[in-house]
Amino acid sequence: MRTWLGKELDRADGGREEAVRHVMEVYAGPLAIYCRGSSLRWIGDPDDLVRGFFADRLSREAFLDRWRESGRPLRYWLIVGFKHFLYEEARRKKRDDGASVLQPDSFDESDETQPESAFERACARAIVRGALERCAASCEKDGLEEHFDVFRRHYIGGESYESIAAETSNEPRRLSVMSRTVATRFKRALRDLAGWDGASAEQVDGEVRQLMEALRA
Amino acid sequence: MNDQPSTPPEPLDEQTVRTLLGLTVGESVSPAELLARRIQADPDGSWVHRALRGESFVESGTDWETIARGGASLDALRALKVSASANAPAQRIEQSLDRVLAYFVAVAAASDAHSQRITQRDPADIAESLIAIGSVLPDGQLRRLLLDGAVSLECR
Repeated sequence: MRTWLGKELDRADGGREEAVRHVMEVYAGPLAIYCRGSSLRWIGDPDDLVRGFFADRLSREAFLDRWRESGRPLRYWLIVGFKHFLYEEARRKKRDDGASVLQPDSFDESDETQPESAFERACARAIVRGALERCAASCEKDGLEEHFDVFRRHYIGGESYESIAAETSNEPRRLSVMSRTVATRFKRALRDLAGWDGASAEQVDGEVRQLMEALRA
Repeated sequence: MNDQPSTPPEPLDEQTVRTLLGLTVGESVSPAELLARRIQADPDGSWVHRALRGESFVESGTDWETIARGGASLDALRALKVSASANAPAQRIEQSLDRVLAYFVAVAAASDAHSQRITQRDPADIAESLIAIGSVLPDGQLRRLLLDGAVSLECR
Protein backbone atom coordinates (compact mmCIF):
# COMPACT_ATOMS: atom_id res chain seq x y z
CA MET A 1 0.00 0.00 0.00
CA ARG A 2 0.93 3.64 -0.40
CA THR A 3 -0.12 5.77 2.55
CA TRP A 4 -1.07 9.41 2.87
CA LEU A 5 1.90 9.90 5.21
CA GLY A 6 4.29 8.39 2.65
CA LYS A 7 2.94 10.68 -0.05
CA GLU A 8 3.28 13.71 2.22
CA LEU A 9 6.90 12.82 3.01
CA ASP A 10 7.60 12.71 -0.73
CA ARG A 11 5.76 15.94 -1.47
CA ALA A 12 8.17 18.82 -1.99
CA ASP A 13 6.05 21.83 -0.99
CA GLY A 14 5.50 21.46 2.73
CA GLY A 15 4.60 17.78 2.75
CA ARG A 16 7.21 16.86 5.34
CA GLU A 17 5.98 19.57 7.70
CA GLU A 18 2.43 18.30 7.28
CA ALA A 19 3.59 14.74 7.95
CA VAL A 20 5.46 15.82 11.10
CA ARG A 21 2.41 17.73 12.33
CA HIS A 22 0.28 14.64 11.82
CA VAL A 23 2.72 12.38 13.72
CA MET A 24 2.78 14.79 16.65
CA GLU A 25 -1.00 15.19 16.71
CA VAL A 26 -1.71 11.48 16.76
CA TYR A 27 1.15 10.16 18.90
CA ALA A 28 1.93 12.89 21.48
CA GLY A 29 -0.81 11.65 23.81
CA PRO A 30 0.09 7.94 23.64
CA LEU A 31 3.81 8.64 24.19
CA ALA A 32 3.05 10.83 27.23
CA ILE A 33 0.90 8.02 28.62
CA TYR A 34 3.80 5.61 28.19
CA CYS A 35 6.12 8.03 29.94
CA ARG A 36 3.79 8.45 32.92
CA GLY A 37 3.87 4.72 33.59
CA SER A 38 7.54 4.19 32.80
CA SER A 39 10.29 3.60 35.37
CA LEU A 40 12.03 6.58 33.77
CA ARG A 41 9.24 9.00 34.64
CA TRP A 42 11.54 10.65 37.20
CA ILE A 43 13.40 12.35 34.35
CA GLY A 44 10.84 15.07 33.90
CA ASP A 45 7.37 16.12 32.88
CA PRO A 46 6.00 13.59 30.33
CA ASP A 47 4.59 16.24 28.00
CA ASP A 48 7.91 18.11 28.01
CA LEU A 49 9.79 14.89 27.31
CA VAL A 50 7.50 14.06 24.38
CA ARG A 51 7.99 17.57 23.01
CA GLY A 52 11.74 17.16 23.41
CA PHE A 53 11.65 13.80 21.66
CA PHE A 54 9.72 15.21 18.72
CA ALA A 55 11.95 18.27 18.51
CA ASP A 56 15.06 16.10 18.50
CA ARG A 57 14.03 13.19 16.29
CA LEU A 58 11.49 14.69 13.89
CA SER A 59 13.87 17.52 13.03
CA ARG A 60 16.10 14.88 11.45
CA GLU A 61 14.75 13.85 8.06
CA ALA A 62 16.38 10.46 8.46
CA PHE A 63 14.13 9.52 11.39
CA LEU A 64 10.94 9.16 9.33
CA ASP A 65 12.85 8.02 6.25
CA ARG A 66 14.32 5.14 8.24
CA TRP A 67 10.85 4.31 9.53
CA ARG A 68 9.63 3.97 5.94
CA GLU A 69 12.53 1.64 5.18
CA SER A 70 11.83 -0.41 8.30
CA GLY A 71 8.55 -1.91 7.08
CA ARG A 72 7.13 -1.60 10.62
CA PRO A 73 4.10 0.23 12.00
CA LEU A 74 4.80 3.84 12.95
CA ARG A 75 3.75 3.33 16.57
CA TYR A 76 6.45 0.65 16.95
CA TRP A 77 9.09 2.91 15.43
CA LEU A 78 8.07 5.79 17.70
CA ILE A 79 8.03 3.84 20.94
CA VAL A 80 11.45 2.33 20.25
CA GLY A 81 12.79 5.78 19.39
CA PHE A 82 11.17 7.29 22.47
CA LYS A 83 12.69 4.69 24.78
CA HIS A 84 16.14 5.45 23.37
CA PHE A 85 15.49 9.13 23.88
CA LEU A 86 14.49 8.49 27.50
CA TYR A 87 17.69 6.47 28.13
CA GLU A 88 19.74 9.32 26.71
CA GLU A 89 17.91 11.87 28.85
CA ALA A 90 18.29 9.69 31.95
CA ARG A 91 22.04 9.34 31.39
CA ARG A 92 22.41 13.05 30.77
CA LYS A 93 20.42 13.95 33.86
CA LYS A 94 22.33 11.56 36.10
CA ARG A 95 25.58 12.92 34.75
CA ASP A 96 24.44 16.50 35.33
CA ASP A 97 22.99 15.86 38.78
CA GLY A 98 25.95 13.80 39.99
CA ALA A 99 25.91 10.81 42.30
CA SER A 100 24.07 12.63 45.08
CA VAL A 101 20.71 12.18 43.39
CA LEU A 102 19.19 8.78 44.08
CA GLN A 103 17.76 7.46 40.88
CA PRO A 104 17.32 4.01 39.35
CA ASP A 105 20.70 2.73 38.14
CA SER A 106 19.37 1.13 35.05
CA PHE A 107 16.28 0.79 32.97
CA ASP A 108 14.35 -2.30 33.95
CA GLU A 109 12.51 -3.72 30.92
CA SER A 110 10.35 -5.94 33.15
CA ASP A 111 8.70 -2.81 34.56
CA GLU A 112 7.67 -1.66 31.12
CA THR A 113 4.91 -4.10 30.17
CA GLN A 114 2.12 -2.03 31.69
CA PRO A 115 3.12 1.34 30.23
CA GLU A 116 3.64 -0.31 26.87
CA SER A 117 0.12 -1.78 27.00
CA ALA A 118 -1.20 1.63 28.00
CA PHE A 119 0.68 3.13 25.05
CA GLU A 120 -0.87 0.62 22.64
CA ARG A 121 -4.36 1.26 23.98
CA ALA A 122 -3.83 4.99 23.63
CA CYS A 123 -2.55 4.45 20.06
CA ALA A 124 -5.72 2.51 19.21
CA ARG A 125 -7.85 5.38 20.49
CA ALA A 126 -5.72 8.03 18.78
CA ILE A 127 -5.70 6.26 15.42
CA VAL A 128 -9.47 5.71 15.53
CA ARG A 129 -10.02 9.34 16.47
CA GLY A 130 -7.67 10.51 13.71
CA ALA A 131 -9.50 8.36 11.16
CA LEU A 132 -12.86 9.69 12.36
CA GLU A 133 -11.68 13.27 12.03
CA ARG A 134 -10.41 12.67 8.51
CA CYS A 135 -13.57 10.82 7.57
CA ALA A 136 -15.73 13.67 8.94
CA ALA A 137 -13.69 16.22 6.98
CA SER A 138 -13.96 14.28 3.73
CA CYS A 139 -17.73 13.84 4.21
CA GLU A 140 -18.08 17.55 4.87
CA LYS A 141 -16.13 18.31 1.71
CA ASP A 142 -18.42 16.09 -0.38
CA GLY A 143 -21.69 17.25 1.16
CA LEU A 144 -22.18 14.01 3.09
CA GLU A 145 -22.59 15.58 6.55
CA GLU A 146 -25.96 13.90 7.01
CA HIS A 147 -24.42 10.53 6.13
CA PHE A 148 -21.66 11.10 8.68
CA ASP A 149 -24.21 12.05 11.31
CA VAL A 150 -26.10 8.79 10.75
CA PHE A 151 -22.83 6.82 10.95
CA ARG A 152 -21.86 8.64 14.16
CA ARG A 153 -25.23 8.08 15.79
CA HIS A 154 -25.33 4.42 14.83
CA TYR A 155 -21.74 3.27 15.38
CA ILE A 156 -20.65 5.66 18.14
CA GLY A 157 -23.94 6.57 19.77
CA GLY A 158 -25.32 3.03 19.47
CA GLU A 159 -28.70 4.19 18.11
CA SER A 160 -30.67 1.83 15.90
CA TYR A 161 -31.57 2.89 12.38
CA GLU A 162 -35.24 2.61 13.39
CA SER A 163 -34.84 5.15 16.16
CA ILE A 164 -32.91 7.54 13.89
CA ALA A 165 -35.58 7.07 11.21
CA ALA A 166 -38.24 8.17 13.67
CA GLU A 167 -36.62 11.61 13.78
CA THR A 168 -35.84 11.95 10.09
CA SER A 169 -37.58 11.56 6.76
CA ASN A 170 -35.40 8.58 5.80
CA GLU A 171 -36.29 4.92 6.04
CA PRO A 172 -34.04 2.61 8.08
CA ARG A 173 -32.75 0.90 4.93
CA ARG A 174 -31.65 4.19 3.46
CA LEU A 175 -30.03 5.15 6.75
CA SER A 176 -28.16 1.86 6.72
CA VAL A 177 -26.78 2.59 3.24
CA MET A 178 -25.87 6.15 4.28
CA SER A 179 -24.05 4.88 7.35
CA ARG A 180 -22.23 2.12 5.46
CA THR A 181 -21.13 4.65 2.85
CA VAL A 182 -19.33 6.51 5.62
CA ALA A 183 -18.12 3.25 7.18
CA THR A 184 -16.39 2.50 3.87
CA ARG A 185 -14.66 5.88 3.98
CA PHE A 186 -13.75 5.40 7.63
CA LYS A 187 -12.26 2.01 6.87
CA ARG A 188 -10.02 3.47 4.19
CA ALA A 189 -8.97 6.35 6.45
CA LEU A 190 -8.14 4.05 9.33
CA ARG A 191 -6.22 1.51 7.27
CA ASP A 192 -4.24 4.38 5.82
CA LEU A 193 -3.34 5.70 9.29
CA ALA A 194 -2.54 2.27 10.72
CA GLY A 195 -0.63 1.10 7.66
CA TRP A 196 2.74 1.94 6.18
CA ASP A 197 4.17 2.13 2.70
CA GLY A 198 4.72 -1.31 1.25
CA ALA A 199 2.49 -3.08 3.80
CA SER A 200 0.29 -5.85 2.45
CA ALA A 201 -3.44 -5.98 3.20
CA GLU A 202 -2.72 -8.88 5.58
CA GLN A 203 -0.08 -6.87 7.44
CA VAL A 204 -2.50 -3.98 7.91
CA ASP A 205 -5.13 -6.46 9.11
CA GLY A 206 -2.56 -7.78 11.58
CA GLU A 207 -1.84 -4.29 12.85
CA VAL A 208 -5.54 -3.48 13.27
CA ARG A 209 -6.07 -6.77 15.11
CA GLN A 210 -3.15 -5.96 17.40
CA LEU A 211 -4.72 -2.61 18.24
CA MET A 212 -7.99 -4.40 19.01
CA GLU A 213 -6.11 -6.89 21.15
CA ALA A 214 -4.43 -4.06 23.06
CA LEU A 215 -7.86 -2.84 24.13
CA ARG A 216 -8.66 -6.23 25.62
CA ALA A 217 -5.50 -6.24 27.75
CA MET B 1 -6.44 12.81 2.93
CA ASN B 2 -5.37 16.40 2.83
CA ASP B 3 -8.56 17.35 4.54
CA GLN B 4 -8.13 19.13 7.81
CA PRO B 5 -9.95 17.55 10.73
CA SER B 6 -13.39 19.07 11.24
CA THR B 7 -15.52 18.86 14.37
CA PRO B 8 -13.80 16.54 16.83
CA PRO B 9 -15.94 13.48 17.54
CA GLU B 10 -17.23 12.93 21.05
CA PRO B 11 -15.23 10.92 23.61
CA LEU B 12 -14.85 7.31 22.58
CA ASP B 13 -15.13 4.46 25.07
CA GLU B 14 -13.02 1.35 24.54
CA GLN B 15 -15.96 -0.75 23.34
CA THR B 16 -16.70 1.81 20.62
CA VAL B 17 -13.04 1.96 19.61
CA ARG B 18 -13.01 -1.84 19.32
CA THR B 19 -16.23 -1.78 17.27
CA LEU B 20 -14.82 0.85 14.92
CA LEU B 21 -11.54 -1.04 14.54
CA GLY B 22 -13.53 -4.18 13.81
CA LEU B 23 -15.16 -2.41 10.86
CA THR B 24 -11.79 -2.03 9.20
CA VAL B 25 -10.39 -5.56 9.32
CA GLY B 26 -10.30 -7.50 6.08
CA GLU B 27 -9.62 -5.70 2.86
CA SER B 28 -11.72 -6.77 -0.09
CA VAL B 29 -10.06 -7.21 -3.46
CA SER B 30 -13.34 -7.36 -5.33
CA PRO B 31 -13.65 -5.57 -8.68
CA ALA B 32 -15.72 -2.91 -6.90
CA GLU B 33 -12.93 -2.32 -4.38
CA LEU B 34 -10.31 -2.16 -7.15
CA LEU B 35 -12.53 0.32 -8.95
CA ALA B 36 -12.93 2.41 -5.77
CA ARG B 37 -9.14 2.54 -5.38
CA ARG B 38 -8.75 3.60 -9.00
CA ILE B 39 -11.29 6.38 -8.51
CA GLN B 40 -9.52 7.57 -5.38
CA ALA B 41 -6.21 7.73 -7.20
CA ASP B 42 -7.64 10.66 -9.23
CA PRO B 43 -9.44 12.84 -6.69
CA ASP B 44 -10.30 15.44 -9.32
CA GLY B 45 -12.51 12.90 -11.07
CA SER B 46 -10.62 12.92 -14.35
CA TRP B 47 -10.45 9.13 -14.58
CA VAL B 48 -14.16 8.70 -13.78
CA HIS B 49 -15.18 11.19 -16.42
CA ARG B 50 -13.07 9.41 -19.03
CA ALA B 51 -14.52 6.05 -17.93
CA LEU B 52 -18.06 7.39 -18.27
CA ARG B 53 -17.32 7.96 -21.93
CA GLY B 54 -15.66 4.58 -22.30
CA GLU B 55 -16.34 1.74 -24.74
CA SER B 56 -19.30 0.23 -22.87
CA PHE B 57 -21.27 3.46 -22.98
CA VAL B 58 -20.31 4.06 -26.61
CA GLU B 59 -21.16 0.47 -27.65
CA SER B 60 -24.53 0.52 -25.92
CA GLY B 61 -25.40 3.98 -27.26
CA THR B 62 -26.35 5.32 -23.82
CA ASP B 63 -24.76 8.31 -22.17
CA TRP B 64 -24.35 8.44 -18.44
CA GLU B 65 -26.05 11.84 -18.07
CA THR B 66 -29.29 10.37 -19.42
CA ILE B 67 -28.91 7.45 -17.03
CA ALA B 68 -28.25 9.74 -14.06
CA ARG B 69 -31.43 11.71 -14.90
CA GLY B 70 -33.40 8.47 -14.85
CA GLY B 71 -34.08 8.78 -18.58
CA ALA B 72 -32.54 5.53 -19.82
CA SER B 73 -34.91 2.68 -20.72
CA LEU B 74 -34.56 -0.71 -19.12
CA ASP B 75 -33.47 -2.17 -22.47
CA ALA B 76 -30.75 0.45 -22.77
CA LEU B 77 -29.51 -0.41 -19.28
CA ARG B 78 -29.52 -4.12 -20.09
CA ALA B 79 -27.51 -3.37 -23.24
CA LEU B 80 -25.03 -1.36 -21.18
CA LYS B 81 -24.67 -4.21 -18.70
CA VAL B 82 -24.10 -6.74 -21.50
CA SER B 83 -21.51 -4.49 -23.12
CA ALA B 84 -19.77 -3.94 -19.79
CA SER B 85 -19.71 -7.67 -19.05
CA ALA B 86 -18.03 -8.50 -22.35
CA ASN B 87 -14.43 -8.38 -21.19
CA ALA B 88 -11.74 -8.56 -23.81
CA PRO B 89 -10.04 -11.98 -23.62
CA ALA B 90 -7.06 -12.16 -21.26
CA GLN B 91 -7.69 -8.63 -20.10
CA ARG B 92 -6.85 -8.11 -16.45
CA ILE B 93 -9.55 -6.60 -14.25
CA GLU B 94 -7.29 -3.59 -13.56
CA GLN B 95 -7.33 -2.83 -17.28
CA SER B 96 -11.10 -2.95 -17.58
CA LEU B 97 -12.25 -0.95 -14.57
CA ASP B 98 -14.16 1.40 -16.87
CA ARG B 99 -16.33 -1.61 -17.74
CA VAL B 100 -16.78 -2.42 -14.05
CA LEU B 101 -18.04 1.13 -13.53
CA ALA B 102 -20.43 0.82 -16.48
CA TYR B 103 -21.73 -2.50 -15.10
CA PHE B 104 -22.54 -1.05 -11.69
CA VAL B 105 -24.03 2.13 -13.17
CA ALA B 106 -26.39 -0.03 -15.26
CA VAL B 107 -27.37 -2.24 -12.32
CA ALA B 108 -27.90 0.73 -9.99
CA ALA B 109 -30.01 2.65 -12.52
CA ALA B 110 -32.17 -0.38 -13.33
CA SER B 111 -32.84 -0.87 -9.64
CA ASP B 112 -33.38 2.79 -8.81
CA ALA B 113 -35.32 4.04 -11.85
CA HIS B 114 -37.12 0.84 -12.91
CA SER B 115 -37.23 -1.21 -9.71
CA GLN B 116 -35.72 -4.09 -11.66
CA ARG B 117 -32.85 -6.40 -10.91
CA ILE B 118 -30.88 -7.02 -14.08
CA THR B 119 -28.30 -9.29 -12.51
CA GLN B 120 -28.55 -12.72 -10.92
CA ARG B 121 -25.91 -11.83 -8.37
CA ASP B 122 -26.79 -11.60 -4.69
CA PRO B 123 -28.50 -8.21 -4.11
CA ALA B 124 -26.69 -7.75 -0.80
CA ASP B 125 -23.30 -8.20 -2.52
CA ILE B 126 -24.30 -5.82 -5.29
CA ALA B 127 -25.49 -3.26 -2.73
CA GLU B 128 -22.14 -3.50 -0.89
CA SER B 129 -20.31 -2.95 -4.19
CA LEU B 130 -22.49 0.07 -5.00
CA ILE B 131 -21.72 1.52 -1.56
CA ALA B 132 -17.97 0.88 -1.96
CA ILE B 133 -17.95 2.69 -5.30
CA GLY B 134 -20.50 5.36 -4.38
CA SER B 135 -18.58 6.31 -1.25
CA VAL B 136 -15.61 7.54 -3.28
CA LEU B 137 -17.24 9.03 -6.36
CA PRO B 138 -16.42 12.72 -6.74
CA ASP B 139 -19.56 13.43 -8.78
CA GLY B 140 -22.60 14.01 -6.57
CA GLN B 141 -25.15 12.99 -9.22
CA LEU B 142 -23.45 9.69 -9.96
CA ARG B 143 -22.85 9.05 -6.26
CA ARG B 144 -26.56 9.53 -5.56
CA LEU B 145 -27.44 7.14 -8.38
CA LEU B 146 -25.25 4.35 -7.00
CA LEU B 147 -26.29 4.85 -3.38
CA ASP B 148 -29.99 5.08 -4.31
CA GLY B 149 -29.49 1.91 -6.34
CA ALA B 150 -28.09 0.23 -3.21
CA VAL B 151 -31.12 1.35 -1.19
CA SER B 152 -33.53 0.06 -3.86
CA LEU B 153 -31.76 -3.31 -4.00
CA GLU B 154 -31.98 -3.69 -0.24
CA CYS B 155 -35.65 -2.73 -0.22
CA ARG B 156 -36.67 -5.72 -2.31
